Amino acid sequence: MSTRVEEFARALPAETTASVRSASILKTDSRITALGVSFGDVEGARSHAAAIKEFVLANLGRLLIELEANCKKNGIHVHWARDASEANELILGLCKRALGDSKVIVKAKSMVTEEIHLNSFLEAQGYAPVETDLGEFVVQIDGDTPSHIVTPIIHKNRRQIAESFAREKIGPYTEVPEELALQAREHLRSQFAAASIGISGVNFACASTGRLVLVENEGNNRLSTTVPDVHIAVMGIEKVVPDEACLSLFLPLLAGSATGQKLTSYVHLIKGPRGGDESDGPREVHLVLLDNNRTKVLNGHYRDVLKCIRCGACLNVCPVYRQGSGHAYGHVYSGPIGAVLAPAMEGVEKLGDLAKASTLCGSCEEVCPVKIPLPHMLLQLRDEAFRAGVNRDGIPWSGFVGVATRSGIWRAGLTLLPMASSLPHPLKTKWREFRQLPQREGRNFRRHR
Amino acid sequence: MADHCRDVLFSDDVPVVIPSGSCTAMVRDGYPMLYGGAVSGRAFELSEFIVHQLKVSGLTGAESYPRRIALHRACHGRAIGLKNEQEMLLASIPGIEIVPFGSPEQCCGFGGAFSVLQGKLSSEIGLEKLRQISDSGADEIVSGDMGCLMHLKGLIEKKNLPIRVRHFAEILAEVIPA
Repeated sequence: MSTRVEEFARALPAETTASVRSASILKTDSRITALGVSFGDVEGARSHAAAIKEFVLANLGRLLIELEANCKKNGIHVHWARDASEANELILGLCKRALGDSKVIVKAKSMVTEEIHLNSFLEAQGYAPVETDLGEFVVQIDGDTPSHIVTPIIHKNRRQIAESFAREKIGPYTEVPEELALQAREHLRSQFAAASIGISGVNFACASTGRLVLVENEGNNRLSTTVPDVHIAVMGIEKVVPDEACLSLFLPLLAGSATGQKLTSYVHLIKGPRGGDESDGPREVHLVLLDNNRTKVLNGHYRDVLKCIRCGACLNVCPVYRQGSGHAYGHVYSGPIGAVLAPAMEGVEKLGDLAKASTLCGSCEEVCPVKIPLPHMLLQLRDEAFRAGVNRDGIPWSGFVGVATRSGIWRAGLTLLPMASSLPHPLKTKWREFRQLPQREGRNFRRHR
Repeated sequence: MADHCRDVLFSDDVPVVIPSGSCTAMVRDGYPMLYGGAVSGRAFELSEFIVHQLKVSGLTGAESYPRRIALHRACHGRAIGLKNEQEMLLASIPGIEIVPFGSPEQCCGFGGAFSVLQGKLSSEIGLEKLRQISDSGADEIVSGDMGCLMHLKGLIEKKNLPIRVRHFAEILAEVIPA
């Protein structure tokens, strides 16, 4: 059986693959350099981070209660959402209450709001969410979706972006990156001023202090979370960490793994709304804690996938991702992490074929900052999907399996093997679509015994 | 099929040396899933056996092999914990030049059943590997996994590319005097 990734890759323009591949190579290389600079012992840092994340998963309930209590002390309103629709309704309720005449909502880049399809939900209710991260902004004006969890427009080149900007009359046509950034900046400033709500994700939430940590490079998160009167932060429940001491590990580990930086240009620690003596900052801060199947995953075979800090290093290094792009996976979460996370959350019946979109080369596990055993999980998912009756490969294998699983027949069959090279077979046809078949060299290994 | 291999290869108490990382991984990690841990300890990948069991880390008195080779480190070597064993053995051959190439950590795209069921992905990943290696100026691609070699050879022949593939064991056999 083919997969959605293969079908997508067959139709993908070479130009798109070239964009994805060159950026992925660059990020894979810069990751190695940055982590080497940040940590004398990269391996030790990854083990340490994995151990902290293991502690988080083992104590998730307690840490979340602690986080809630400390956030409340800081004046942050905490909300719990079981699933996407609860989260969306909750956020809609906050918007209705907070928004005056303006329907503008500024958004910092957030994969969890992509996961719950918040933008389309709010748009259907008459609101105008505006993505302020440059990549997400391009995604939005193109009616596209992000193809990478860190770099949403990795599938586009600068000419395509220039054409989108000109089409939307953001500014005069230019392919110079700095000029395009300035055009976006000017366009978005008025949106920040008009918005009374800012929505963001959360990279880490510190249970012991109730502070929310956000990392970014463009400054749009700072504007989104401080200029509007109301800041709504949305986070998956697994993003809680015990304390702030572990940030000295996680911040450089995330920056290095994600973008090849020692640290991101901005790191925000958000304690809550503006104090009585402060002249700026939001008047209200809300934190939405989203489950959306995470508890189910926590109690299943794939719990380790909840350790993910969304750095995207496994996407960058994955040969299948590089060839097919993130869109090939047909899900918000793509690449090796998506091929596990998506079916783990939504079921193998619906998304089990993603586990087959891998050569099981193991490079994803090698780069994972929290050592998630992704190849092993992909194998487990294949097994689970097969048992559930999906991912059946059908006719091409059935004859082979019939013989190979019966040792008597297999032994007898081996003596006939020399004849097999002259027989037609659907698998040979598939092999020959792209390659020559190996020729028998005429010798017989078994006679040497 | 595994029953047959187990009966033929693992019935005596001698080491089983395997010229492919992927087959070694199957015996070492797959067989315990099928049969319990009985057979796994005696299976060795060839370079692993030479370097760690025979304690031979280089060849002495080998004949010259005056070629530029690109050493593709097969992914299943990673899975069974190989480090630079193959490189060490090859580097000790007089005249040989091991040339570096781009993105060496990348898979060749074979992936077993992946190669036929997802042929476009598989072949494009393989062709990218061949592009990186061709740019390095190597005459030969050398690897220690039959799967990678069969796949890359099939692509090379289909595209008529001026490079050939060899298993590192073939080179060892050629340069070690009889």
